[in-house]
Amino acid sequence: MGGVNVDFDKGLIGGSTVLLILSLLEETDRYGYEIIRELELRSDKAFQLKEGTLYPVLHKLENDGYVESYKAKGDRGRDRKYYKITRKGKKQLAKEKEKWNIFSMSVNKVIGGELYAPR
Amino acid sequence: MPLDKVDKFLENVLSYIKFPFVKDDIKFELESHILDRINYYMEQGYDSEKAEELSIKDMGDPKEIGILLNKQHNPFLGWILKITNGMVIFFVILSIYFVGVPLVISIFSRNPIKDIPKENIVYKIDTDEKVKIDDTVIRFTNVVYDKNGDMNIFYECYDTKFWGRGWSSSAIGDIMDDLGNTYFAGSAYSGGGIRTKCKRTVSDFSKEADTLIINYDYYNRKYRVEIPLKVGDTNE
Repeated sequence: MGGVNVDFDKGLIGGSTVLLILSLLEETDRYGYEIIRELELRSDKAFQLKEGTLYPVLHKLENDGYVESYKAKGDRGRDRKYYKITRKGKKQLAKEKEKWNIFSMSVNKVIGGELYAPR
Repeated sequence: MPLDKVDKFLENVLSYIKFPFVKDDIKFELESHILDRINYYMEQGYDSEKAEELSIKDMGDPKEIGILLNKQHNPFLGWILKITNGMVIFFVILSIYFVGVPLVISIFSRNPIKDIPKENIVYKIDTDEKVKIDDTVIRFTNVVYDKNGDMNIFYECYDTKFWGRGWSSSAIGDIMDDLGNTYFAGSAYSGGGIRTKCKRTVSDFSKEADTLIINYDYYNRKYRVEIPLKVGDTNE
């Protein structure tokens, strides 16, 4: 990101948060802190969010039936609350990805013309 | 290490949660996150106090988190769910108690007629007399006269209504004979279950009697059953 400090935290509740979280959970079951760490690492710390606000989102996803939670021992032997994507969550993820692709393609077309358009 | 700031933060978040049953779960989840973060900072070389401070700062505004979490745990819906869950469990237990247990007892309960050894039977009469008191049906199935002079009356009873048996299954009335004797001494046995198998025994029953009379006249309810004797299989 070349030292550009992007303030994404406001957008955590809306926008692409659901897409990001569900994508990470599609790979493997994770607990909250792992999700935050993974977002941090993969986005080169561009997504430095207020970590606490992750949990209302996770609880909403659970209420909506997109994820399920269970307790299990994580590293260091402490219990963690893990989240697991459901079948309904996977369907939702496919939709979110589709929406994102259309959105980013459209933005790229506007700002960069042919250069940024997908091959 | 004492984590006063963590406790204060958690308390602050939880003060916005209206539904009490999720508080522990939320506390556990957020606390575990903060502890992970503190570990991370300490691995980076911060002392514990600084690590705690940074970790809590990373969490964000406890008020905002609390309000957002509370939205996801609507106390009204939460209570309804809690109550309906409770009721389901209650009714499952209730139906196990009222249906399952008597059913199992009925299946495994012994038939008291087998208690009398064959060689002791003077005569045995099969009968099929049915009477009804309120909602309870009593069906007299056999009478057995044994060598001890005991008259054993076998009967089943069951309720036509599912709820509430107000009738005691051993009170079948006065046991008499056609000679005018009334018998008081004796014993009663009653098995459990939906269709209860029972036995009433009276001692020193007259050998000369031709008819066994069961006369019930209590609490404004009446019936009278007469069972002819000495017509069944004799064993003498």
